[in-house]
Amino acid sequence: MTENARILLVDDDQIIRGLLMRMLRDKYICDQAAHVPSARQCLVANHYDALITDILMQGESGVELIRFARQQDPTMAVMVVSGVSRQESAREILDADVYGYIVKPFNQNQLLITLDNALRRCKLENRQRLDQQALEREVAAKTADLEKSHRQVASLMSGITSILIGLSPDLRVVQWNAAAETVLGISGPDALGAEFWELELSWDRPRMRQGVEQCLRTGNLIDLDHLRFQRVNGKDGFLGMRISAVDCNGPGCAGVLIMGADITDRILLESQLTQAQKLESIGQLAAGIAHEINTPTQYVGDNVRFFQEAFDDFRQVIDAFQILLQHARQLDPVHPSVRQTEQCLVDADLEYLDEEVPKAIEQTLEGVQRISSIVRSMKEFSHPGSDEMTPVDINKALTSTYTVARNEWKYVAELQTDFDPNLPLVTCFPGELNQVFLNIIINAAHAIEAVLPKNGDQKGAIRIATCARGDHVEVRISDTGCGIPDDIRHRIFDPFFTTKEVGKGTGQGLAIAHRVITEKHDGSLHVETRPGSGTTFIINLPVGEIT
Amino acid sequence: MKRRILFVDDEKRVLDGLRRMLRNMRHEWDMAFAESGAQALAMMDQQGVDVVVSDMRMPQMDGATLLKQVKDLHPGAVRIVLSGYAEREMVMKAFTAAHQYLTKPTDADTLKNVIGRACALRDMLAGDALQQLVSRTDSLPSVPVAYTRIMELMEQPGASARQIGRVVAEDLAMTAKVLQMVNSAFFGLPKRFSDVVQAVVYIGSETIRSLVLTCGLFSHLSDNIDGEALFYHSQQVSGIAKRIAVVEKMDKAATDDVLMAGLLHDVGKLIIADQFPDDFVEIANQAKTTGRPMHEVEYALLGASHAEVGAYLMGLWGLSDTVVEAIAYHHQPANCAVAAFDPLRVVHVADAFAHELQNIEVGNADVDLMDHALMEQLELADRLDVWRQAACRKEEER
Repeated sequence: MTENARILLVDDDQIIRGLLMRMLRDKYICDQAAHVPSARQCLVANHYDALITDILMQGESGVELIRFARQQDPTMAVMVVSGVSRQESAREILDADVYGYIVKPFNQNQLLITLDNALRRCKLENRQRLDQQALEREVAAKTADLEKSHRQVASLMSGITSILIGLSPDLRVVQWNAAAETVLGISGPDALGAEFWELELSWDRPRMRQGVEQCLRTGNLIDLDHLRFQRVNGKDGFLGMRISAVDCNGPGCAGVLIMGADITDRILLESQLTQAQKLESIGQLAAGIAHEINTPTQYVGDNVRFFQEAFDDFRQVIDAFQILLQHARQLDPVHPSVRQTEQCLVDADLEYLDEEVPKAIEQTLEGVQRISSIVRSMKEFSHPGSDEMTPVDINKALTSTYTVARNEWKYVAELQTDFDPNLPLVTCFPGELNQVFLNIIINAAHAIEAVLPKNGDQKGAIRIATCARGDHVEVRISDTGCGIPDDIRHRIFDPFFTTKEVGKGTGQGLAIAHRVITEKHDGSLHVETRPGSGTTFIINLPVGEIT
Repeated sequence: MKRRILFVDDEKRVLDGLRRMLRNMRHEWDMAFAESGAQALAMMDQQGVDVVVSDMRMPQMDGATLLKQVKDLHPGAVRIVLSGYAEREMVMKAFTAAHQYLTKPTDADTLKNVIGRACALRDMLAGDALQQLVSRTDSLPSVPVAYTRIMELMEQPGASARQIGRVVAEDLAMTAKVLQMVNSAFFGLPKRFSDVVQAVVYIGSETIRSLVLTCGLFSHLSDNIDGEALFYHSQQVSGIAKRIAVVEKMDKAATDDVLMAGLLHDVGKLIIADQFPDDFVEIANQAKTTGRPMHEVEYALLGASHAEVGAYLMGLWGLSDTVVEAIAYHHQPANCAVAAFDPLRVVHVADAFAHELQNIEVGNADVDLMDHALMEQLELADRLDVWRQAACRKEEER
């Protein structure tokens, strides 16, 4: 359908223009212009479906107009009506991309058919162009989408704080992200392409290898929690790793994906929390037990005191009876009651009772004393409800601590104390400080145990000394144990570092001690040691508010 | 006359144990045993008691409640806690109800000693009425200015123990109460505090705050006594006494006693002003018009002087014998049996010096409180000048 299309006719020959108008006006709406400038104005002012122009005109050439028209509206069908049929002109015109070329003279049919064709072709082309554009837009949008998700994946990948290691089926490293670089201390370029087991990683390699092999064999997800490794700073740490198999080239050809993180800080925090909870519950328990024990201790003690006094009274009575017996014997040595009394004395072994009963009472009283001092120590040691800083007599705190820990050292060491009687009170967290003393005393006992010959009756010594030093209090806890070897001395305060066999030590004792002394009390904890002859821990605590 | 002691505990075995253990006191004490608070009160209604020793944790009526009732119904009785629990809350509950605290297990000698002292104190202060009034005193009245300042501090949650301590140190009543508290058995201190600021820091601002706000640890003074002048005098005596102790090279324990006794020697005046306000005004007037020392007028009017009254309460509060003795006999040191230059004599001399200095200031040199005969007897007369020099030199520096 090309009817009612709007056509602009341009020719400087009025006769030609009139001819064209007459030929076309039945079918089309036509405007006309006598030269290029007025044609330009028409093109700017109106939309035309087609332009029919002469080439050789006075002033500007039709070629110029065609270029302008193209710029103005690329969908317009352009036709040339010209008397010129020279080769060069035609090329020039065809370069300008025209849809039809009619050489004067022409008849109406020729014109109408050419115009109709031109309009049709143009319409087709326009639709094609639109389709093309739509297609291009769609492609561009899809490309943008793709780029966006690419960027997202990239930023996601670089944003992953977890370690991500990919291994090919032949266990070469194909993925090694930034977290793997920082946590494991091997750069991506060094790792990529390398054989996984050749990498110089100081982690629990046998466990890792077992995990990877198990994963490949079973295809199951393998979790390696608390995997020991050495952190970049040289200290001990823990990784939490998860190993999964990924299909690379179909079944039976699986690679390995290892993901995980350095969980040392989390474990440290958890263990501190557990420690605090433990202390709290021990405190509550101790206070409750103390009360439960104190009441019977009161009456056991009272009753024993009563026995003591009552026995003295009995003895006086018996002494009197002895004299009476003597007297009776002199009067009638064979009187049945005299005989009976003498027999009774022999049966009861009075001499023995006389000697042993006071001793038994004395020792029982001493035992009661000891029970109450242990209960008191237990309560003081656990110090329930002391989450604020309190002034504490360090000598007393040490006494209650070694009393509750007695069972740990009594078979391996003699305990000596050298307490400064003029020690000022120290403002501190008593519960936590006691825990520090306990850890060090127990370590001392273990160190001594390590050098004592088995089944021998020898003992080492633990010496606890305190001393006021200006606005500080110094506590020295020494042992005659095995000492600390040079190569690990700098590591003893590291969390999780332990020389004890699995299950015996958590590697937390001295680390906690160090943290409590330095961070919570602003003090210092040092060690002096000679391998083979013993260790001294030196704690310095600022006195705090009371001086 | 036998003293009557009542023990209260819900655990019968504890009572049995105590009864057996204290059997050898049967000639001096008449002992009764109650298994509940209600039973104890019923027994006291029938026959009064001199000393009550009660457990804290008991069903129905706990020790704190019982002792508060005893305080109201039988104010003359000395109230002692013997508890297996030493939690601070528990002690605070009983704080104004009990004169002293003992923790289980308490050995026989300590228990006998504490009860024995309580009985002995009752002999010192003649007259039931006086005894009852003094026993009922759970806090001493403070100078209004100091009281206002401490209450202001209590309202500030951020106030440090040291700040509180400084305010306490400026007031006689608060000082006495805090020293009593910190030196009581509950805190179980191996050392004794004579410095009240340190004591407050030791107890902690939170504990002090809750005691002041919930138990009425401190109270304030009526305006019939010049509390500030009394405090100035007490500090002066304490200072002079300490300097004499230093000159005489007394040991640390004795010096601490001297300091504390010097500070507290006139604490009875606060009790009289608080409990007998009318008598107190009358005593002050008579002393002024007749020129007689206050304690003589007090004997005439009340039958006892501020020395015995103060010593009695400080004794009930568990201060050491030496300090109580020094307070009781600071006017008549010769009446105390021990013939030695001990803290009592130091306080006596320091008090006499302080009055001397005051009299010089007001131009009245007639009153001489010094027991010169005793000084001669103790062969100390020639030391007086040395001490006076030490006292005056420092006084000028002030």
